[in-house]
Amino acid sequence: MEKEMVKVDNVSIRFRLQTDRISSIKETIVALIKGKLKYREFWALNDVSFSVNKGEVMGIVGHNGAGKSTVLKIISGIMKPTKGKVTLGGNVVPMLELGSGFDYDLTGRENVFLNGAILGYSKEFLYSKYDEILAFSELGEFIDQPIRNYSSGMLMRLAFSIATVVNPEILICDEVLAVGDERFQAKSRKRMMELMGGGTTVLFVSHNIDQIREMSNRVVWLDHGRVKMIGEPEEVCAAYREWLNRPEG
Amino acid sequence: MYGSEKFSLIGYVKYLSRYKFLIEQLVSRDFKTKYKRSVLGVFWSFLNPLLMMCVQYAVFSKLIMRGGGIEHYAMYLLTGIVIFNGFNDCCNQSMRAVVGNSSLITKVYVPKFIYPASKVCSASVNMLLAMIPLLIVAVINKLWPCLPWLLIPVGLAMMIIFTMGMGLLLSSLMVFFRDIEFLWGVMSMVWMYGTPIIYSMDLLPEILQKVEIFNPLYHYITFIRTLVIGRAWPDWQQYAWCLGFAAVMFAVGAFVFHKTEDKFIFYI
Repeated sequence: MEKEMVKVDNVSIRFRLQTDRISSIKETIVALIKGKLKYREFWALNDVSFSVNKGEVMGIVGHNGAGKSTVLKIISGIMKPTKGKVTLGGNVVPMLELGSGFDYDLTGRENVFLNGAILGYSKEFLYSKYDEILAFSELGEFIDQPIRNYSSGMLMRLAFSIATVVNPEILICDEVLAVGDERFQAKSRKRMMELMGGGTTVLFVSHNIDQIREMSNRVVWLDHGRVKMIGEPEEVCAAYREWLNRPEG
Repeated sequence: MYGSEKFSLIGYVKYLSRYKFLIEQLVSRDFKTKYKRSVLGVFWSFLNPLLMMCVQYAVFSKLIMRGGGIEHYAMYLLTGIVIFNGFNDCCNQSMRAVVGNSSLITKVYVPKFIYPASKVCSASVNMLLAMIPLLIVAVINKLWPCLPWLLIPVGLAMMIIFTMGMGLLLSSLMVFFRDIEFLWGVMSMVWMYGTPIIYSMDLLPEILQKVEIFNPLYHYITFIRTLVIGRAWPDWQQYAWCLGFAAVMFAVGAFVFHKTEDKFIFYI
């Protein structure tokens, strides 16, 4: 049997929605005295279980607010589930939002190291891969400019290059395949394919059903925080598409 | 696997060493952005405390206190100022560390204590840099370097551990109650005037002198003053107070932070 790289076991997560957002001591005390500190509970994920084997590409589909991003955040360790647990068989590189660790006053070069450190790369690794990152990003001499002067395309190219220079065991992507101009998109897609071919386990979320069908081995369909269907891409995508185009009412 | 990390001191230290490179990067980021586009750059870290000292010395020694009969009043005042400012700087920066990094905390998994810890590190580096002009002023005042000076890092280290506890506590409280920022502004002012920085202990009424025993900063400042101005070895009680406060504060801060960190993401 193939090695399970990601195992999501009966994961549920509860959000507490306050009727009004209370974030000061006075308001809390007043609310406590009045007995009004009540929350409306909302289970963003409800008893979700699935596992991903080594080398598999798992696509996740679902309507807006179905809990796709929440699942990815729990797997990356950003959120802790209220119930259930996640077991991982290797290191995770999350690409939830490219360049979220950038500091706009620093140069591209300085950001390579800052962002790399945030993603958990070691110093030696970054020094040895620096040229590769620079080459892939195609930034050339602009690398020594503060990145606040960059265009958004340049920023994304740099972020993508830093994030994908590793060969992670588990890669988690949230709608990040549309980076830069068409040529760079083709290049980044090729890089993603390389990663997937190299034994990396991938979990990715996309609203582009064709892309999901084309790239993944298996698909999970989330609906209101529950797993509605899990299986072959063709099958799940067809069912999901049918559900999307269902007659209203 | 997440959800199984047990709280332990050794665990935190191990964490720290694993994330050394990240802390290094975050600290160097703080310095680079702080001094970006300033002509003198890092030199300000020396110059700023020195200029502050001049102003405060002029105000307190020449205009108001006239020294109050304290020997080496300039040095007495300056040591207090450097230590207190270092402490205050640490607290102010680490307080905003979690809230200010919300965009990162919601996107990448990094142990959250890294953020206040890196702020305490950068503020501590600043304080270490400020020690250099302090020691220069000491030499100008004919307080020659001596063996007890070697213990200055020990005193500072104990204070930094104490401050780390404060930073962890403040940064996690800040997530839930943004009022802390304003409350702390008032509290730190009370703390400053309540600590014998510009005046000596003798000036206080007897009751307040007894209360002062429970003021951690009084002990840290006295520790450094004993070394720099007294040029003597501190006695064991001074070690005990400094270590005790550091241990208790760090434990409290780490405990509160650990208990609350999983909820941060819902509030930032």
